[in-house]
Amino acid sequence: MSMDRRTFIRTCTSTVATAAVAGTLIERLASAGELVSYTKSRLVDADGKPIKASELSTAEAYFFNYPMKSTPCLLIKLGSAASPTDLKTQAGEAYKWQGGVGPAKDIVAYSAICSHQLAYPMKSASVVAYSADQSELAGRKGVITCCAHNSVFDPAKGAAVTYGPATQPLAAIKLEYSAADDGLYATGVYGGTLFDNFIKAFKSDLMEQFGRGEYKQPADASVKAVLLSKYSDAVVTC
Amino acid sequence: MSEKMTRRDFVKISGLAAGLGAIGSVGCAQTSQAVAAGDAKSPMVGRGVKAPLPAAKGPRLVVVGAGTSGLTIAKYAKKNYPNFDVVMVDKRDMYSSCFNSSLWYAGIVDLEFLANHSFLDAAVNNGYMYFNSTVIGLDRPSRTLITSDGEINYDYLVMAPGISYDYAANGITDPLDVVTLRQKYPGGFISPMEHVTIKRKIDEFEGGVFVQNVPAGNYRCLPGPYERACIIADIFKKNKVKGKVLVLDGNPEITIKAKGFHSAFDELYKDYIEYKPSSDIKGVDLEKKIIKTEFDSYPFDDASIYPHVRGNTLLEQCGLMGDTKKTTQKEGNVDVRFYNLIGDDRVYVTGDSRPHPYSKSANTSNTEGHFVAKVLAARAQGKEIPWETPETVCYSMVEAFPPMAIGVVAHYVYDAGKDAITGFSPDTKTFEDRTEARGKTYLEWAKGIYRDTFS
Repeated sequence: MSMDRRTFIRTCTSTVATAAVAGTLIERLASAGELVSYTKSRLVDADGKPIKASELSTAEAYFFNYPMKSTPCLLIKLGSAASPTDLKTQAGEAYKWQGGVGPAKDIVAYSAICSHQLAYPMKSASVVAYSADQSELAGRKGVITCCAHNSVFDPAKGAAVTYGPATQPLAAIKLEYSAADDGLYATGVYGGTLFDNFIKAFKSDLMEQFGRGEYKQPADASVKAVLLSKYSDAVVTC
Repeated sequence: MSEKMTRRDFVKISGLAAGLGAIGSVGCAQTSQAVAAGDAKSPMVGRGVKAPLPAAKGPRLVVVGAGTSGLTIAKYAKKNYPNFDVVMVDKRDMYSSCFNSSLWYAGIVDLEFLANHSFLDAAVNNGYMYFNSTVIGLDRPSRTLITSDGEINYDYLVMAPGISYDYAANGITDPLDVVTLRQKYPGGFISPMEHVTIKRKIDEFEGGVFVQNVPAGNYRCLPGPYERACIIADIFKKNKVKGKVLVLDGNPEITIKAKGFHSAFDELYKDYIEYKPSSDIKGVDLEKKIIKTEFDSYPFDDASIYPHVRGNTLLEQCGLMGDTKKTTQKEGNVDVRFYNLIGDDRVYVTGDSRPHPYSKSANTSNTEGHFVAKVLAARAQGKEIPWETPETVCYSMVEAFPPMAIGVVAHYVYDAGKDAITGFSPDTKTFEDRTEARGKTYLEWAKGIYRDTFS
């Protein structure tokens, strides 16, 4: 199934109604917490081979770009099941995080754009990262931290903020698990997304890295998910 | 007021009014009505005319000072209450951040990192107007701010003019000495120009004693002077300069992240930094190049002399300064929790002009600004909100080659019984082992503040 920007569809969590919408409208609606469906993208490894959920490491997060070619995400295998969680965006819109997927219901994915001041994993350094081990800031294991201004998010609870200045959870990536081949797909985004702000803030950098106009193109039908430490020269945890 | 009143007289009178405290209705310049009534030939620019701005479309919020505090408040007040008609007034037409500026000395960041941020973009991105003008007065009874380009009527006014240097608090009062010190040995904690001078001094230093002092009191950027000492020392080390940085500290101990700074001094700069606590500067013999402290004299070859700080003199001129018995640093006379002037909930003083014992830092002003924006939005709708602590997150680059930093995250405690901020909250954390990871984080921290204020 291939999808381009024009055929993006919005799927409300409460209805099956669909409608074609423009990018800015997507942003507005998505900010309200609702699920916005994008390209169904299969997660593949650096060589392009489909990722197998059972073979993911629990020691570190994987980096991938979704739903646009430039928008950063983290894929995490927590090692224990994560249940659905009720959350709210900064604007006060309620949404339900789907919980972990996969055979052990322990695989989760989030937009890696910090909901505080938009720091994100870059090739030169990533101050947004997952600590499978003890986080100095959080005083516990298994958290996502943004060390730029010391925010902590709980990936087992929909990336809810547990410490620091961030004012809403990281936006959630809707994952689908294919039991037939142990595969993983990203299919949409929900929660408080910040893609418009992200592109506005980093436009020059994104143009340089991805090309004029390319950075806002939708992700392909397969996207590479690589260990964050392979993607970024310096992974900073705190 | 007489027809022949000069600007200097105004300043004197408004200063007197502020000193008396009780005469809250005295501004530092007359409004157009007053001018029309009998002072039509006033020579002062900006008086007697309205500023060339469109009519307000909602309650007009005027913010004075496009630093971290003012920029944050202008943006988020508009976001929180879109009816606000926001005008930002700043005399500068070019921004350059004071935070991170010491990193430029060592080339860790370039000038573009500090200055590639436009007031125009900030205004457009966030739906307000940027008015490039100098504030020359305030008339609170008629809610009029007077600028060198005309008067602006406000419904709410936020004054965030930052700090001024207070050489008198160091015992240096001769105007010639003050001017000479400002120009020759700038403190480097207010204007970008000072940094240009200091960088040249460091680059051209060929040996001897370079003094970097730390003032007593609640000065801007607590770790700043210690960080700068480390950076200068590392540059000397790299350039193989036969010289040292003499750190004269007006405080009995390093004021923040003491462990991390002491480690750096001892482990990295044993031959390059000499640290003298309890050594507040009490005078400078500019002829002989000798700095005097209470008990000692120190000859020096070059220096960046950081005087004591005070609330910006504009506060005093506009009658917004607190009783000097309560604020020893001539800061705004405001409510501890909500920042409004005592007795006037239309005027606010924020940022480094506040009288609070908060660290005078970018992150403090940014988080405080988020809160003040909420207060303003609530009050414009007849509501009140509970107090929130600002947050101080700051990094210090204790090594330049390669960049390695230490850090702190702090919050504050409000004591309702005393109606005062009584100290850091128990969740305050310091990260005092220097790492390259924190060095990288430091730069991301700064970029976040730029994004939050300009994007």
